[in-house]
Amino acid sequence: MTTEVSDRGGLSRRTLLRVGALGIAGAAVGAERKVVAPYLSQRGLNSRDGAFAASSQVLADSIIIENFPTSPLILTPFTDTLTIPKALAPVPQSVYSSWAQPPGPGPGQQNSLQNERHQIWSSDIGSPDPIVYKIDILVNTHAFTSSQVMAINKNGRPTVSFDASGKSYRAGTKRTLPLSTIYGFNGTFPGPKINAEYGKPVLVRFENHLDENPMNLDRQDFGAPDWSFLTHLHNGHTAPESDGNPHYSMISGPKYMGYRPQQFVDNLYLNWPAGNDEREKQSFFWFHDHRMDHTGSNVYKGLVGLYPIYDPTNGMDMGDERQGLRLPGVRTDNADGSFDVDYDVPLAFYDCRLDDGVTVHNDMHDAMGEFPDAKNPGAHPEWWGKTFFKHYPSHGFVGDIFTVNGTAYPVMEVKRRKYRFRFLDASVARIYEFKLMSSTNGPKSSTSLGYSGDELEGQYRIPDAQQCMKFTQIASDGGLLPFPIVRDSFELWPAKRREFVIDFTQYQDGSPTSPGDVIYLTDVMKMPTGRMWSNSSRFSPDPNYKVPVLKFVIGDIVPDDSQIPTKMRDLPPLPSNWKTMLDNRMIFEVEHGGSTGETQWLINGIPFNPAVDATSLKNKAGKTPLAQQRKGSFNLWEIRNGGGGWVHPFHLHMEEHRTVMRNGQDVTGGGTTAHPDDYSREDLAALDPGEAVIVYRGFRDFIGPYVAHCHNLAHEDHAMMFGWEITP
Amino acid sequence: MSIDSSLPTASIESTSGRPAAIQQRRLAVPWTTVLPLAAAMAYADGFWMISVRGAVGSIERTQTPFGSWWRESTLVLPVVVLAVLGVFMLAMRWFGPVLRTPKALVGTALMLVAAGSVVGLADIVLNSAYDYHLQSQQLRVMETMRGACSGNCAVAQQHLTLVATARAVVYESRWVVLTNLVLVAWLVAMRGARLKLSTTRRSFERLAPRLSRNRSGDVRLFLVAALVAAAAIHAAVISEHLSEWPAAGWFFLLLSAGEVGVAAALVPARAPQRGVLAAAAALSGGPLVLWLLSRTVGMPFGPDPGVPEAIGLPDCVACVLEIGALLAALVLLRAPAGLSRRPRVSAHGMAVALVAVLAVTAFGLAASGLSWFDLFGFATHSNMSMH
Repeated sequence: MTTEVSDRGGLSRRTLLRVGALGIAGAAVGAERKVVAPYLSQRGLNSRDGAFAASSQVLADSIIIENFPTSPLILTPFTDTLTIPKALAPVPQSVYSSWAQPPGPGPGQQNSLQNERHQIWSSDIGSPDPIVYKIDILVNTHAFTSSQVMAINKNGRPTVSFDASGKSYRAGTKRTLPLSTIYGFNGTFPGPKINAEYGKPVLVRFENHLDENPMNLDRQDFGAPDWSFLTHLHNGHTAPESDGNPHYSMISGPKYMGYRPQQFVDNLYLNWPAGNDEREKQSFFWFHDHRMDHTGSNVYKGLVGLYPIYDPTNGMDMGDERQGLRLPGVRTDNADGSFDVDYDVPLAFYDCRLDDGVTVHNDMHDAMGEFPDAKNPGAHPEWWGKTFFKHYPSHGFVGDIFTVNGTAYPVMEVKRRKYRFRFLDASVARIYEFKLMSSTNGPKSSTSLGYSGDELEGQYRIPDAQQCMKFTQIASDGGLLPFPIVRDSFELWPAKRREFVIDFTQYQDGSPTSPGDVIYLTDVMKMPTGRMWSNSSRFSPDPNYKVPVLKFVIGDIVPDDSQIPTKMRDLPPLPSNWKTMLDNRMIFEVEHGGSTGETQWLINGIPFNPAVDATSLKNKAGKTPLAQQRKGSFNLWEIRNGGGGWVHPFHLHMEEHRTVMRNGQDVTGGGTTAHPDDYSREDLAALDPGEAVIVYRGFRDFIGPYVAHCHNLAHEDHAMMFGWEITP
Repeated sequence: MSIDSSLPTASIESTSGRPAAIQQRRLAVPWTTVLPLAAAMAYADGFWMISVRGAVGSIERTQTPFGSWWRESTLVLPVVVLAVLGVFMLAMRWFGPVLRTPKALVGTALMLVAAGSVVGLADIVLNSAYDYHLQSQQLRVMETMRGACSGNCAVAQQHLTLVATARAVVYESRWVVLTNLVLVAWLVAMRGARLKLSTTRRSFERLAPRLSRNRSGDVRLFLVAALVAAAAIHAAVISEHLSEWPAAGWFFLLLSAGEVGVAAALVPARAPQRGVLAAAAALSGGPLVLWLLSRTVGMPFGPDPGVPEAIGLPDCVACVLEIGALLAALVLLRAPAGLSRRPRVSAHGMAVALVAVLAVTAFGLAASGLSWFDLFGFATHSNMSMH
């Protein structure tokens, strides 16, 4: 082939081709740096493995079509009053002693199967007999709003709706939402609140009545198909038989994934700190279902309860703002033995998605024959407006309606004083980042602002919102902090608890509030899928994403004897030689995999096997120990996020821990900017993509099997869990 | 370097327009063209293969995708080289040693895209099939472990997994073809719209000058390659056999050493002694007989006398190499003189044979469970099956 030289400009055709090819390569490199790399970085995928994960993700999205419905638009938000559960009344001794199988410390008295006993009874630790509660697991209905709604499609446009008979209503028709079917503790969502106190053990008899359906409610296609349950007090210092974990339940007690209909279990909560160490006292538990493989669907179906725990020692934190730390709270002791605390408000956040009647229900669980009556895959117009759930989502499950204590977009009138709020994320996967904001023009529906698709999540935005107040954090998962932390915003990951004092007497600039002033608790973390956020204060803030979740309206001024303390509960000390323990730490790495039936996740390369204890990865000492700890011991555990662009709220049962290292950095002197409350006790490690934490934890007082798992419940239900054990 | 007038030759028109002194030379493989083309397609298609695995593949093979990508793409690279060489040979037959027309250039480029895509797709399909096999096993294990499934749900889940896998493969196949098209076009453009099918540089002759002067030398070169490759496979399983039965480990150690020794003896000699060739035949035929016995009636001694052993990919690969070596040795033993008079195999043909040996050996090593080569996830999978 001869060389052809162009007379025009003296460049040969071949040279032009080469230059063109080089130019294309340069453009590709430039695009990678300008577009691809930032995109991947935002999703934690800008790594060697991340590029593959991103490509796999795109492929999975292309072949595994996941359709989620767009919930009907709630037309008049912030009109329903926030529900604040009252304390559950205990069962009088005269009543429970007459039960056919009364609770007690003897053999066979721990459950209806009569095959277990309580490992430690209250008298064994010098406490009085437990206060007894009875909670039935019931099928019931629940209304998320009393507001009228309008069906909208993914583009935010009005669309048709349906009723239970399948009759359709034309687009634009205002409708009343049908009631959703729930499985609830005592048939409510959220379930009852038990106000507990250290030194006063509590025994709760959880009794399964899910086989009873007197209203003949349509159970739809989620919730444990065999109607079994397992209740976990998150994160009580509790014996395995009362812990409600699958590692225990599959080998002891029910020897099944949960307790079946008409069975009961007596969960004994000793309300006793680990090692009887005052510094281990906690302040806010919640109890939720933990049935193996169906925790997500059972929790989403309503099995959530609240369990604030007070500390009467020296009146430190007993719900009386005139004593001890003087945290906000005015206590009323009730005649039935319970007590309520005003100005001390639990807030359980939960996002849901309501059926649009046209989205096809198609899930791996349908192939397992779990819900044959649903005849999936298929659409369900008869379920329009009721809760929709996808058990096996590719990216986790998030809702587009945000609720607080079971009500969508509620309003709370607050007095002009300080309040204590106990925040709980009871969502399947959604992470929130909250700010306190005020607005001149108030919330606008996302549809009216022209949003569509995932941008409709949250339904409302406040375009002109500005931060107006700060939070004073006083506690995290593990109880009161050593000292309060003033924060502009905070992240709330699934199952995490954070407690804050909000002073409604003045704004952050010092100006006083006035009756009628409105403040919105606003979510500023955009999380379109259960994988992770797309925008938050830490990563690419989206100034337009300001979703109001709860409206506070300032009311009258009332007496306020509370104070914000400067010092609260000391952290339990770390041994001075903790770094010498690093070589022998246990290492657990969570990894995402492909779509193999029910298994989506692995820990240390192995799916959850409830019958065995996990094995650590090889540590620096060259050992791969079994996940077994001697009773009374302490150890370092490392939890690694194996990457793939996922975040994981990783929960370790039984004792709270203290993070000592994050991503190789010593955080014992204070948390990182991203995770400021690493400097506290927690039961859940928040793992950004690719992160690793090393936690220091104890294994005291009890023996037996426990679990650790991701609290993104779609992950937990698909094998992201491992068993471990405390040995004598 | 002497010129063998019996070889296929071509008139090479140089870019300077001088026809040449090189006119009578045997054409050689243009490795600087073949290797970049093959590497680009192998690693790009490997990316798509790993993406499919990450999306729908077996969970225990989805970890460390970058490491898997470069290991497995490297292992597939010889196969892509074979495909490129095949296209070059075809193009030489159809268009001559030099692509003189745009039609010939485009036709050859499209054949390269097609050949690379076939290999890439075969890689994806085979990997997906293996993933599905593992997934099916895991589904059965999980069903046994949990017992929560009613009816035939393992079968139903297998079906769903298979459907997802098939959709992923079909979806990704278009990206494989498109990627190869872009890469080949880009590489051809970078060469100024030239695609060199052959060159006059004699790489093999430089590497092994004593071996490559006639047909006998070509066969001998193949024999050396097959012996060394078989030795590599046998060496890879020494450790495993030592832990099971030390005598077997020592056997493979001695066998590997013998094969390397005989191969080394074959290289320098102008005409190899018959004894060396007989040794090569024995070192190839002997293990074949032993393998056949062990896989059919079982060995009469060892830890499980009389029990047939399972057939595995590494031993199959070793057998293929041993059969090749045995045939080569027998050919050299029977007709060395006749062979010497016969024309040499073309450089491209010789390259195909040697790269084929390399490709087969790479897969054998990969399947042997060596940690670096753990192509099939055996280590991880054995962990799985413990539970």
